[in-house]
Amino acid sequence: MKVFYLKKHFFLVLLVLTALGANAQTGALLGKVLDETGLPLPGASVQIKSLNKNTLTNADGTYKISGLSNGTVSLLISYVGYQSKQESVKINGNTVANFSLKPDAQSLNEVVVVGYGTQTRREVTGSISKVTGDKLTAIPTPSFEASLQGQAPGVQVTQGSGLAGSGSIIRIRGIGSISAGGDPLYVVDGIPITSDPFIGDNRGGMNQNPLATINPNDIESVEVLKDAGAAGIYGSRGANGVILITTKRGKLGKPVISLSSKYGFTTYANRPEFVSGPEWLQLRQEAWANDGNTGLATLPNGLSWEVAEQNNTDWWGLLTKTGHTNDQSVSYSQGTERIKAFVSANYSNNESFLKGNAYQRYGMRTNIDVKATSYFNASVNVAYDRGTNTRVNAAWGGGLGDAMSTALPIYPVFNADGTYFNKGANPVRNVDLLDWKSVTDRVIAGATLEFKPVKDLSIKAIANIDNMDVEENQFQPAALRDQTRGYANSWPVKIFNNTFTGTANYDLHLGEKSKISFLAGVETQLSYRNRYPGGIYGEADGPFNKDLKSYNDAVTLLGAGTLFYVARDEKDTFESLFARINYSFDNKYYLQVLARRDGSSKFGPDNKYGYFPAASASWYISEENFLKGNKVLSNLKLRTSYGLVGSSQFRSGQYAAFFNPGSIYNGTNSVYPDNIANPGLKWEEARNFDLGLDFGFFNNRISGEFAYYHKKTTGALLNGAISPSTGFLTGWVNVGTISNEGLELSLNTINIQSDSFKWVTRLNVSQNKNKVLDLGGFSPDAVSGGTNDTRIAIGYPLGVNFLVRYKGVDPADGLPIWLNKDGYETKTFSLDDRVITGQVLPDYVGGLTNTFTYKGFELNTMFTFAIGGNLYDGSAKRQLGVVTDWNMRTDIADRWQKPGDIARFPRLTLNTNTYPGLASEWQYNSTMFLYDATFVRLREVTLSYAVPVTFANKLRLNNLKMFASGMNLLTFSKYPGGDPEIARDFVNAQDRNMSPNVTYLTTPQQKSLTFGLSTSF
Amino acid sequence: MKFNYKNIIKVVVVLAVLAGTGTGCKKFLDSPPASKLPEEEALADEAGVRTILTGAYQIVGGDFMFGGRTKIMSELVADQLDGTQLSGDFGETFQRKSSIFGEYKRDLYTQSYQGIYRANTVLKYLDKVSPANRDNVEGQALFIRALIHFELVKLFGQPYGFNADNSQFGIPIRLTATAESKVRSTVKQVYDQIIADLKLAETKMLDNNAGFADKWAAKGLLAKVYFQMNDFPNAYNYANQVISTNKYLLDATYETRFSEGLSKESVFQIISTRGVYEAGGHLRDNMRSTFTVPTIRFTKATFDLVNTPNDIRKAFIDGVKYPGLYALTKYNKDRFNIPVVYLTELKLIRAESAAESNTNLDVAIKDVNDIMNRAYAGAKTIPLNSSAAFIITNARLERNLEFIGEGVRLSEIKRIGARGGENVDKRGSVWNCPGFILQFPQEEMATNLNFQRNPEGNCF
Repeated sequence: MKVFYLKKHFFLVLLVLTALGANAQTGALLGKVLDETGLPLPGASVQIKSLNKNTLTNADGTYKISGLSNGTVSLLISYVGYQSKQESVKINGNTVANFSLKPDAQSLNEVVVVGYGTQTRREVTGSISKVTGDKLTAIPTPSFEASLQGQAPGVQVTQGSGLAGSGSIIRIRGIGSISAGGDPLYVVDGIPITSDPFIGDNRGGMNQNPLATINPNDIESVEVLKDAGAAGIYGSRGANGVILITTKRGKLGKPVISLSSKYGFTTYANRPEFVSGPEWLQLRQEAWANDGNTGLATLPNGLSWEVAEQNNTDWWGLLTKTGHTNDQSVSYSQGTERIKAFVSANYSNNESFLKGNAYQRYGMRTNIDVKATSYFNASVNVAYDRGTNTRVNAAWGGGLGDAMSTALPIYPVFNADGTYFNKGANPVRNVDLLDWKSVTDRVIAGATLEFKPVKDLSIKAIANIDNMDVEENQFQPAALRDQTRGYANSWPVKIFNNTFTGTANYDLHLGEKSKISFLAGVETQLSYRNRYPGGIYGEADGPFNKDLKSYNDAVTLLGAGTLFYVARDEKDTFESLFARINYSFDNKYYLQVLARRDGSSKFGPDNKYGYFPAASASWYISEENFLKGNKVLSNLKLRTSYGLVGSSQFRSGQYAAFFNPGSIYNGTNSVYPDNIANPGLKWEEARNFDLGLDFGFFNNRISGEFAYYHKKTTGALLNGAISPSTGFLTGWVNVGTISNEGLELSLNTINIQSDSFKWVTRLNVSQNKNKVLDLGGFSPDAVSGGTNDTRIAIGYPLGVNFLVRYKGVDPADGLPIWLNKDGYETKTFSLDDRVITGQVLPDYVGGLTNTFTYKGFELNTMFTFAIGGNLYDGSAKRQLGVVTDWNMRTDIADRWQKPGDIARFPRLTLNTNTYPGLASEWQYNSTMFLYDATFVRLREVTLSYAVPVTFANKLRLNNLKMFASGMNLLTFSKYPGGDPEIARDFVNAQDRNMSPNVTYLTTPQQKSLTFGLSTSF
Repeated sequence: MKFNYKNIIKVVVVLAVLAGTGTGCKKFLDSPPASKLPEEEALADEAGVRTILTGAYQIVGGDFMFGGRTKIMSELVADQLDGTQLSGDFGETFQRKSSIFGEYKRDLYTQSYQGIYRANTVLKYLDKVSPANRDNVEGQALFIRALIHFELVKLFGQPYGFNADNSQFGIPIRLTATAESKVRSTVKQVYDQIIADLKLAETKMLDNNAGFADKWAAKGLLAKVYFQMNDFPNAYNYANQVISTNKYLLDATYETRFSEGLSKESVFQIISTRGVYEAGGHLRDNMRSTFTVPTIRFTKATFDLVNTPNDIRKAFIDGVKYPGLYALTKYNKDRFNIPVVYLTELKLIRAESAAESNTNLDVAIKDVNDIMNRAYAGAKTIPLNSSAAFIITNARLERNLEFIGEGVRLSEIKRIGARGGENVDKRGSVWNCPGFILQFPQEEMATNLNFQRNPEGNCF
């Protein structure tokens, strides 16, 4: 323990010297450092370089430097995230000097969270985009990740739908996975969290998104790690990028209580238009007559014309409403040198525009940092959230999906006797009667102990948990089932996920200019689920959480036979070793080398461990003598990286043949085979190259970043390609090779800056070229999405539209004309004539933000866009094709009705045989329903007013801000069928990869208007 | 605040070590799924082998086979449904133009083969079964394998008798639980395999197997297979063996055929157990007419067949509840067992086979009259001196009526066609037109370029 004695001595000596020094001088400099709003900035640095004196501001923003001689000194005031200020002050005895600092997004001193640590923006050699928390709370998206849309280059966010709590599909620098998940790794305060939207399976056409439990008000910043230099430290899980979420922590200073209150209204952003009851009957009759029939057409389910003609039900109208949103949050932050605390509580209720659908969240968080001694720190984070999703069926599951398909306008809601109509789809009955809730309780907590035995050495031990308890209860009353008794389902699942991490960090200073930092670490992760694989089900008189008797009966009945409760299911273990070395020289040259070794229980015995090295470097060209002091160029940094990263988002237990316990049959237990074995199963491997240029002109009035990347994934997992006569449809194999190559530009300009008015523009655009290079010899049909809409073909991007080409209508007979494989016209439809006709991935995505500030007013607008690619309307083949028991869209008006008509859609028919070669309505996949997917939408427009600080102070407040914000107010698109921002209902990971931009009765996005107020005191 | 620094240091060290444990420790990573058993473990002993055998029964009785799709698919292609308003996979199948897509057919196909996979897994681990029980277990696995091959070859291949040598393509024969791709065997090869499996099975199975398949099930199925091949002497022989045991009695009423264990007719049936295994959910979903109009409905002509004076079976179809629509009532119950091999059919097979061979006509006449007596409550029978041809006509008619909605009619159209070129399809197709058989799912062709597709359509 000698070190400590030395250290104590050192402090003592310092203290004595300081005291001595103080006695010898007379003057002192004191004052306050404030932020742009007039709030104190605790912890800001005040330096007199010439005298080698410096100090930090206290909790109330005050500072004092004593022992100064009279005269003029040059002061440097700096604070992380703010523009530093250099000023001369004339000292005359005790002199007061106050300073206010302006925030600086481009600051090279800005702290950037990287894997297992932080770096300053200057030190970063990888590609990292940072999004601050305030950007995530501006609009009421169903879940925080949707708010990343348009905020960072290389990050494509497709919001799933406007359903409450809905997830989004996030793709960072393209997509390198086919059947395995292509989602980034989400890490909250160092905890790789559960983000799998299929934890509770996929029911009712809507996903359960575990990310919706996270309170966006608690988020300080989100860092998106994109290249191997940044994400490489996450090894076998870094290939799809990493999203690091850092929550707020207590700040040095007096206790501050912040309040935020928001209320709003929601509706749908876009909708498809459907024909009315009389129009539908007319279409049906026209088809009937076209088919050569006489008299009145038969109607679905034996409905009589008499009844049908009485009805003109607007199902869409009956199922939607103006939803209300409500978001209240309060937080408390305080900090002393020893203890800092952040405590928050949040309530929000986001009603979507669907009747009966809402996501309600209660949450609280406590983050405490204790600096016990100079060599020991501890911090504890505890967050608890309860998300209650009141669910409705959607898309293929019914609900609004029915309103777009089988709920015909000629159907009534009620029969004449007041009972619900049940001879055809009746989504109102379903919404009224079905009781369906899923409640997710989630605890994300962690403790970090940091120990600094000697200078520049830090050893950390971190233990984290992310546990979730999902209670999903569904009850169908007898009246809904058309049975004598009601039926309840319950799908309880508990998810446990814990991580232990140990890291050691050592900084080695080599002379004045160079420094080497070492990081070495070990990490183990264990996650599993306790659940009832088939759920609990049985007859009941209420939901199982209320009708306990029926619940017990069901458990007894089910439990009698089979192993129906499984503890430690889907168990997944992970162990890793990692190291990172950073070398910096003269603030100009930075070099980073890292490596990680990951082992996982998911990997087959032949490939138990993977090694993932990466190297990256950056060079501040602007610091070189030939550019230093250049008036035009204020910052120029070149960076590059190359490395190996992996992706391993597939189910555990696929490497060997496993058997599941089945139900009892005839008094005997059963098992059933789960999968086909693959002992060589392993991660997908990506070789990432990144080259980037950060630039700033005119004192950073124009700044930005330009990047090129190339990512080649080998061993992409394919779940499929097994002959179905084996008894299996799918098996996991590492076969695909996929490349992603792209360019990213982000550009921030301060267009106008005067004392009272400021106009800032932020633009980011990314281009990604995705190409499948190899598929291990499988045909495009071998990897169709589960929903059969897109394909994969060598030489083309992932998810191509593989369709029969539609030429148009023959004016003579109204029949469709197709192009065969070779491009010749034919009137016979054949699936053999399918060719690659489009791609679902856009060419460019991005966002354009303009912020205008005038005194306390701020107007912020953000447009997001996706340019290029195709949108396939999977429901149109039923809504605009053969006349069946589906509702039809108004676009059908442009159809052939008599010889000579030039029209977009062929003659109506009730019989698939009318269009030669067509097997069924479902096979009517052709370019007739393929559209340009380009869209631009006004994602956000916010007008806010911050009352002057002086006025706020009179109200005993630190600040007061009011705002009104609109989301998705405008959408520009060529697609006539509703909302162009689409992700088909997330049936599985492969579908998420291959079928964005394919719609099938998809619920449109929300449009919302929110009013709010925030203050702190 | 006072900290005991030494303790803190200890905690840090312990935590660091904790975090480091596991690293390099293979055990931590050797973590098979808790809910599942590795194959060697699951099938380590006799009890294990029996559980996978039970798993095979569940396929046979499940929604993809006798609990639903096998029957509905047959009905869709046959000629008793009113399919004018069917759309999607149902519409396509009804129109006899099955295509390479369609999950309904794909899953029927794949899941049926899954049953064969399970049966083959039983055979693979037969050495784990004690010698005393081995034959019984083996026999059941062979029975299931034969039963599934039989149902599939009827749907996906042209019928036995399509060619003189039956060299037309049938289905892939799967005799081992392996993952490699296989091409189609000829229909002759498939039938040869089915018969070989069943003949071996009947020698190995028990006389009574408490609800699972026994030797009489194998013999009953052999009767059905031979009858389908128009091999009447063998069909008679096997049907006769089963009937002669007198273990099975004709149900007095039709109420009990689909009931929870009340039928006395079943030689082999799918057993429903409340809350645990409720067979026939898919049948109820699509054909039950208790509360709402079912998707699968019948033609008026089908209703007219049973809607004759004195025919009790007119109750099979409800033509009143939903005006203008004809709905089946057989499956109007919450739960029921599903007979697979049962006396009514065996009697009709024996009668028709006897008449076809022109032997044992007295047995044949009695069989037909047993069925008629129940159907018409004694009001209609055939004379005791009926000719062979007359017996055949009446046996076929009764078969047509008895099994409405049970997935039998399609095989009958094809069998009669293959027997002498007669076209009995009420929708006017030639018995061997391409659309009368289902197309293979595209996944077969996508994984094996040599896989032979069926020609499509051309039935009307």
